[in-house]
Amino acid sequence: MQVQVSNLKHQLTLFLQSLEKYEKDVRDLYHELNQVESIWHDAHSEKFLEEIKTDRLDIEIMQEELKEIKEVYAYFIKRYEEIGDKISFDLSFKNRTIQKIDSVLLLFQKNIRLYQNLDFSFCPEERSYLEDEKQMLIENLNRLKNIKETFKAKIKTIEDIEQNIKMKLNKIKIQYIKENDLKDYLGEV
Amino acid sequence: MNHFINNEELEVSIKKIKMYKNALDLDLEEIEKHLKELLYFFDTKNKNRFEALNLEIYNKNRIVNRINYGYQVVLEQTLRRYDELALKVSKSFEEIGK
Repeated sequence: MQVQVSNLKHQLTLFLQSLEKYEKDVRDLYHELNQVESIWHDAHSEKFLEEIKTDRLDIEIMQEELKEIKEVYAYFIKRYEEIGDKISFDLSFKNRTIQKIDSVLLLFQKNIRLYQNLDFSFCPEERSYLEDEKQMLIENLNRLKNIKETFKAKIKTIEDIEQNIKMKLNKIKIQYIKENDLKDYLGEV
Repeated sequence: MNHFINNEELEVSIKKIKMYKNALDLDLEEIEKHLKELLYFFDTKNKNRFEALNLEIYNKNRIVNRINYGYQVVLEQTLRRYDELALKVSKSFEEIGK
């Protein structure tokens, strides 16, 4: 997986600007179409204006659908932003990475036990040096344990984000729009 | 039913509708472009679903383009038919006057 948050943010802003412009132009178009009522009137114009009302509702639904997609992207960006700006990881390596960390942790623990079993009675001078070394190993062990927990938490966050995005996307249904039959409004005058 | 048409105003209205229709064509193109470009910046397991939605939006936009074009066609043809009718009526009066 890979995510580039800053670029997504910028792109989403551009998308929003287009959406706003689209909404304005839709308002202008339908306003003008509604004006036609006062300059053209016959049996066909009535059907035509009826159809315009239905189309307008369809377009409003479409605008809502686009906004729903925008909301999913906004959620996507907000959640991934908590993790970082550029995220790249092969999730299929998740278990292998944890196993690797565990094997290094075991090695640390084994070495710490070796230090603990050392008999210092015959070498009091080296004792302090060896104790420091053992302490260093314990610190590294704890650091690695933290890294493992952070790594697991990040992966869990990514899995949760993706699960939520999946649910949000599944809720979005793009409604079919019926195309008008122009013949209905183009009869003989 | 009271039938009427104001040719001059309808002509102006058609020009405006054409202008808004062209603007909307460009808006939908822009929306599609940005939706497509959003996909460049991530690759997660939900990317396919986003791609599928983009395709549905793309198909819907094509229908909206045709509907908007339809408005223009209907009004232009209505104007043309009324003009033709006016011409016919005027010729008939000329014939009667001869």
